[in-house]
Amino acid sequence: MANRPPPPRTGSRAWYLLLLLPFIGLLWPPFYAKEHPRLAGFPFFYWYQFLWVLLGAGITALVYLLTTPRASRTPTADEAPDRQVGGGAP
Amino acid sequence: MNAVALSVFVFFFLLVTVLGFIAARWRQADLGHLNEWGLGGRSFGTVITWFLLGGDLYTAYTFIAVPALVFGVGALGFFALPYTIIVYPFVFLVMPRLWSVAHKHQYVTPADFVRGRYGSPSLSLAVALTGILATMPYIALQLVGIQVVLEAMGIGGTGTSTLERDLPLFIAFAILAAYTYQSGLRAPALIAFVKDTMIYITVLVAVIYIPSKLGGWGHVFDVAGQALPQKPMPGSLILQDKQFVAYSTLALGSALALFLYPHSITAVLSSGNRNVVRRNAAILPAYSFLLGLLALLGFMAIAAGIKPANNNQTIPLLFDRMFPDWFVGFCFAAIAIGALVPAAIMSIAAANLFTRNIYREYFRRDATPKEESDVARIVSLVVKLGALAFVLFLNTEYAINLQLLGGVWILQTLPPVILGLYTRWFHRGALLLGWAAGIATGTWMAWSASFKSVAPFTLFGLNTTVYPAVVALIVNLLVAVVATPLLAAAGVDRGTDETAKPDYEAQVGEPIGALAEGPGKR
Repeated sequence: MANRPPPPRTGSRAWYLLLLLPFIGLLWPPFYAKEHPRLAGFPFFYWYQFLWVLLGAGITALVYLLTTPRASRTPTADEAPDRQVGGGAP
Repeated sequence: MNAVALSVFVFFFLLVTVLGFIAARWRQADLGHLNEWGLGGRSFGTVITWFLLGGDLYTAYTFIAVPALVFGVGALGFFALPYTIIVYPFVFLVMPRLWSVAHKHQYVTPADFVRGRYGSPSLSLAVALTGILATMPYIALQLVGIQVVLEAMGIGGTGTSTLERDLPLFIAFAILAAYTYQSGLRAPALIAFVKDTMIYITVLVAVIYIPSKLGGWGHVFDVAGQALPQKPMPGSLILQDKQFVAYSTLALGSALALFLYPHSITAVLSSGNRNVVRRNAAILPAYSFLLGLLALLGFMAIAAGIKPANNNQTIPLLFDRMFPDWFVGFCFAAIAIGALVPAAIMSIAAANLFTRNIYREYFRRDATPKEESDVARIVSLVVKLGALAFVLFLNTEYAINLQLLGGVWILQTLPPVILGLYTRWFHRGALLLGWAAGIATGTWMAWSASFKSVAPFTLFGLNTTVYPAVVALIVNLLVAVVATPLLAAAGVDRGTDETAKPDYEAQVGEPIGALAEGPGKR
């Protein structure tokens, strides 16, 4: 078994710290357990958490882009990699 | 029940049945290999994995129970949203490592990994048994989900004998069992496309159409805010101070537990590439958004004046009240099909665990891949029959309580499985002791709180309520940390580690270590 070192990464591992933000934003309910200001009828408690769905996904996508080498990012390369490698049935 | 709704329901049910059987030919391979039957050949790309994981994690029971909880207690029930937000950064970090090491060593289950990492059959058995026990009641709850919509349509439930009453459920389950047996993980993967599309349509239509009929979102929240405190068990529109600890421990504990469930790990390992897993962590929150909207249907039910005999009937009754018949049939079909996907994956995951970590470990060391696949197929049937018997012969309450306990139990496998992906510092014996301590603590707490999802807890003189799983995990970790140096000092064997550091970052296409035979190569 060849124990090759992992391929070099783009960017720094420090980007992963961004992933802590959703935990900070959501696991301390005193931040957001209030009714006002309302947005489109939604109490703050609800729209704030919906906003975090978007922020959380955005942060994860950002960290993905910052930590993934461009070469391994192409989606076509992974759609059926084992089939290509193994030469199995299509 | 109205014939239009019923026909629409039956049409979609038949459609997915056909898909389930056709799935055996999809991305054709030798299904007599556990890698193919139980993991879909580890070949799924980003899109299939997105549908599969979405279909797997956001179960029919979730769609019934989350709005029912919000209907019943208000804000506290909304913990499902922070839970399904914070789970993805965690998945993004942790699951690619599990994918890589599992790919490199051809692990099929989390217990396989634990076996390889710590060289410990007993720790592996503990992880496997916890997984199977936590999964069984979860499958049973999917049946409860089907039962709820069948009842709402007035089919079943009226007969005098058990057989007559539950015949439709029995038929649905027999069909599910048959195509899972035949097609393995390919069946739920294919059906997930239909299921998820239907669920998206249902929820989006519901959250646009229903509030417009009820006088707008602002009015819905206002009515809920007035009605919730008047309930016999008062709820609230905004989270109360005394619920803060419960809310955040429920969110955190559930998030950490979700990807320890065997069915989640099965879906992760079926993806073809570690970057598929990472990409999915960024796109799966679309389902969380949907779940949040769905939770709010609970408030709409309050505003619409729905009075269910049983809270689980809230959503079916709301749909029945608000929608035209054909769309009611569509929505009910979405929920019922929503039960089939996770139930299939859960039974496959439990079957994989039994086959690899009990049958192969203790009964037939030299089982061939063909034998493994045969055993797994039969076990998937047994598991489903068990779940069916559970629902037919025992009170639904037991399944709900056990599912709650299952969540507490499965979280206790975090130290060996998740921490094990980063460090070998822990002694395998200490992890086993920690696991036992965590299971005991969590079970005792849940039991003394008579299986409510949160238990009373006093910390630094502050009386509050907390999710028992989190307290149990802390006990588990403390025991493991204390026992590790003690066992090391006593000279107890640490076991051999068959994995190496680069294995955790391995990409697809790198040489496969443990088995000469890779997936797709025959």
